[in-house]
Amino acid sequence: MTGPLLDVRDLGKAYGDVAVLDGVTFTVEPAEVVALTGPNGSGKSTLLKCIAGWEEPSTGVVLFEGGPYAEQRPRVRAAIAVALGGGADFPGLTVREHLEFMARGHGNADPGPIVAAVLDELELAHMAERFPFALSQGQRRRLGLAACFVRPRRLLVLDEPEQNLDRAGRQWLAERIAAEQRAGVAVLMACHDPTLVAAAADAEVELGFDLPDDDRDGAT
Amino acid sequence: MTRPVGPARVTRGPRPPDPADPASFARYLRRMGRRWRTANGAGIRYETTIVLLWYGTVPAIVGWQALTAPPPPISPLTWPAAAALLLAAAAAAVLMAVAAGPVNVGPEYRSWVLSTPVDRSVLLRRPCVRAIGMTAGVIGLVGLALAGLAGLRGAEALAATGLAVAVGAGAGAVAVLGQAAGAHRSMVVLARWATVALFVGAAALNPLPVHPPPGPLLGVVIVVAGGVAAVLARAAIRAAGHIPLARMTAGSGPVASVTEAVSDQTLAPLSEILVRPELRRQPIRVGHRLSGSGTGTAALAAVGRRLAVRNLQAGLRWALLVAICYLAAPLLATAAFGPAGLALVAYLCAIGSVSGYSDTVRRFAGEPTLADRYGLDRWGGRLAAMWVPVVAAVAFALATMPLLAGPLGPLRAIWVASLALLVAAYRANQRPFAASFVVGGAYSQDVVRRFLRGPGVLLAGGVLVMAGLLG
Repeated sequence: MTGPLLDVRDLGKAYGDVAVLDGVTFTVEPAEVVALTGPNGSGKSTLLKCIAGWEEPSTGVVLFEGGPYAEQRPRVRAAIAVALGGGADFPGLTVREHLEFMARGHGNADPGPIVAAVLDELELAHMAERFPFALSQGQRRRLGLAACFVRPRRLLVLDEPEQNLDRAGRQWLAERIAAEQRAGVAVLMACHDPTLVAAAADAEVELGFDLPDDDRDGAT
Repeated sequence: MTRPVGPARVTRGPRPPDPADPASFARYLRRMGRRWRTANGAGIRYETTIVLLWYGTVPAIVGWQALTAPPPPISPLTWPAAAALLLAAAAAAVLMAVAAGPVNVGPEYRSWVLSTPVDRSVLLRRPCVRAIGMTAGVIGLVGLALAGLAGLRGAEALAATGLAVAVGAGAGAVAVLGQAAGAHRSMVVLARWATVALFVGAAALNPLPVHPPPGPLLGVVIVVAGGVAAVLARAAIRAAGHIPLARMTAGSGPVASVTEAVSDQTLAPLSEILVRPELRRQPIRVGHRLSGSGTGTAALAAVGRRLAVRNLQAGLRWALLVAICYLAAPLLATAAFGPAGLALVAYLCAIGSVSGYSDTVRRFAGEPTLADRYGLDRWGGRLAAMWVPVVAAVAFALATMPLLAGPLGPLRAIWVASLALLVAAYRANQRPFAASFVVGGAYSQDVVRRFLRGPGVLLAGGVLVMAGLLG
């Protein structure tokens, strides 16, 4: 396949009269790590939600592998792993059951080994039989990340994955993103940590409030 | 009783889902949810049963007795008017279903279930059937009431109810199909106009003399309606798999807006959903307009007058609600409960029309410091802002006086308008609802508070209206 994996063209989003995003354009190539940066309220999470299909953009298009991005298609859902913050978990499923459910949903009839490996890697093994409400914020964030790693993927969409992680956790995250890149997975992440951006990202898309027209589009 | 749940209590749940069987995923989640509710005592099946038995038995018995009693010599509704009202109710049900989704899922379902490549039409079958069943049930009850008013009894009444259930199921299925097709706006416009047109049609048809319908007609109509509803429901269930995630937005979209509308005592978020963009009025920024407007009651009155004149949407709503009172009158004219029903309709319409002009009062209630900018104390600001709703209420009372004075008498007509103004003023003067919800905590308190601020006040006013009529 030639061309970008993800192509965001002139994307805009407004809530009523309030424009949150306007004219956002960038691409993500296969095995490329792109960081979305910008101050709080600049629309990073909204942009990721629009890309993941959780919100409908007001203007613009999102293309995936050259065609319109349509998360209704199973082929698209199978390729894109999304972690948009913690907290959206089933109260009645344990950590292990969540991850096994996700792996089975992606066609893995024997998810035990990969779930065990990911639990070990994210230091959640000792919490495996706990319910989400018994986890800390950081552990819930790790559970969201773990859900992305127990399933096949070609594009990883992460919303501030470094939040609630300690220094060692951020170090691990940088290494994990590099490993994903080596495995051919593209990563699009909103990030507030310049160290992580410098260590992991190939390109940076900076969102601001009052950028001049000439500076609006561009991965730098 | 809530029992602690920890690692020691976890037992292996039901059989895990099979990747080759999409239905097993939804089944697994249902069973795990049941396990969770059983373990921590969160189930409300017992409470639901008690409520249904306690509050459902008497209405069911009374309804059945009413339907088996001999029909009155003159029925309040003719059968064509009842049919038109049934279709109007179905159109209104489509409107409400579209505003509410109708197929919605929570954020955890979006993150963990709908993000997988498992067939969504299977995963969403239950929410879809639930939405269709909801409209079918509501319209079925409406059909039962209309059948009674049209003088149908016994088997005929049950057949008419069956027809209403089919019409309701069809309405729900149309709403789901519209959600999948992204035809939100056009469906809202169509359903809104269909509701109004059918209601007007029913009011026009009711006074006309009609012959009883031919015997086999009802049976044929039921069979056809049932067939159409089944086809639509099947198509809707299949189409549910094509609904984009962004349109299943429980917690962040239309459903949240409806909840916000209820809790804030304002219909503004609803109008964002229901009104076409070109008809939306410009946002009213009271605070912004204060600069240069002077201070004191006169300045506030001037601002209120300017905003009221520009508030085209509230004006249209006021006129529509007056018209509804006039349209309801011929439909209720021959009913034994006609005067009481007309008083209730007028009461609710008056509240709706006055509430449309209560934006400024709401703003003052929500922002206590706003009154300071006018040099008024906080109650003074609210009272000064009340003159526009008062004028709206007086105008409503005058506009409906010719209609109400006959069956109710002038004093009772004034009583209805005064109560409506009091209720609208009370609701507008409430500060925005602040939820005290905490996980596992005070949700029931919030529900009670919401009820007391919203439907509870309306009900209390309704009781007073009835008391005034009896007195």
